[in-house]
Amino acid sequence: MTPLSRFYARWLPDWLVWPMVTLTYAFGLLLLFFGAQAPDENIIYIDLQVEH
Amino acid sequence: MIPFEYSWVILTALVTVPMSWAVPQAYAFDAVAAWTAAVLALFSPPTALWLAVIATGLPLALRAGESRRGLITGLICASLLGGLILSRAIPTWAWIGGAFFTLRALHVTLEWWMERMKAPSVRDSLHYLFYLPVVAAGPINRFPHFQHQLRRRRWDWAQICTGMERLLLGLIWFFVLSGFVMARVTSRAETELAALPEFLRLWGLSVLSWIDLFLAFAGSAHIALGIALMSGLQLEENFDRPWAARNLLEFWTRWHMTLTQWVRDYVFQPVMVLTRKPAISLIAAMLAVGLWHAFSIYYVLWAFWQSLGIILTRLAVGGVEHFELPRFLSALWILGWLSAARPVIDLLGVSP
Repeated sequence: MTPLSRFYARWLPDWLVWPMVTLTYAFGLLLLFFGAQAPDENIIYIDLQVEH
Repeated sequence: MIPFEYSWVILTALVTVPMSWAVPQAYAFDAVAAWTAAVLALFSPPTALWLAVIATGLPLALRAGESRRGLITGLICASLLGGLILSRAIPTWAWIGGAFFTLRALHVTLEWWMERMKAPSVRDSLHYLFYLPVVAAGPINRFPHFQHQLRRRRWDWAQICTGMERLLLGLIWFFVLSGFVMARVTSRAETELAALPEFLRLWGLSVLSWIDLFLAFAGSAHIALGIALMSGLQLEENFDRPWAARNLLEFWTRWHMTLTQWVRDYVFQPVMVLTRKPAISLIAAMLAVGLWHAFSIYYVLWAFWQSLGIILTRLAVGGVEHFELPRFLSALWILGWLSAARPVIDLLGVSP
């Protein structure tokens, strides 16, 4: 059981849990594919001292 | 040198996952350390060199200095902090992860000095310090816990899938919510807030920047911990729902936990033992947190502001028993105080 499958198992019947997990993964990947963009500025907690 | 971005860190760190399972268990993390060294040497030769000196020199120095612990500890701490200062003085050398690996090496040294840990072997030290998923953005994981995880790791599908979920979640937080959504929200807010007085404008932008920072940093923690889980390692958490904290004091025990725990163990407690004054120990600890971010006047003042917030919270919590703000108001109050540092310090003419 993963956190996501545990979450769905709380609300949904067993047979629907893994299809919903798969759908969520697919939705996440779609979001990444279409919406991903590297943050513009240097983020202080990510320690890459790179000259921009 | 090749220009290095965080997405490169993720891609190269992902290589450690198949590597850690494909190479025989006894040598898996030798391979991971060699890969990490190769990646660092390619993108940042000074980091690779300095980290190699630390990872090999530290255990040798600790083993040789059993009879002069105080002197050796002092010399090592001065060298490590000197290296960090030098790395920040020459940013053009493109250092990677100095703020994190310096604290890891200091942790090993100080634990050895307090006789809570034996000097590690060179091989164990290389495994610990050359672990790519946590090099650039933490967590500041501890040596004994890492060793324990290396010993107990085994193939577990549920754990590997959990790691994949955390990786996906972290990627969405970092690249979509922070990189895409917050970039647009901030850009819009800059125009909308332009008409406000300078103090309020800076405060508003600072609120957005804390939210953005949380999404990016907690996202990067999910990514690092997710990749580690996929290799069978359950490393220390860096966040514990910080916005669910009831006050500022609790917030700092939930935000960047591996840093605040490090500072508690190696700054707050020693200063407390020496002075017996909680306020001085707190200011010393917050100064360490501030200067860890950057060596600047801004972060010294930032540390005083955050210390003041904690002291006021402490007084309020001690003064009004059984009184608690609703969660929503607590989160607003915490966010308001944290982000007020920027406009308040700006009043003194100091910017980040």
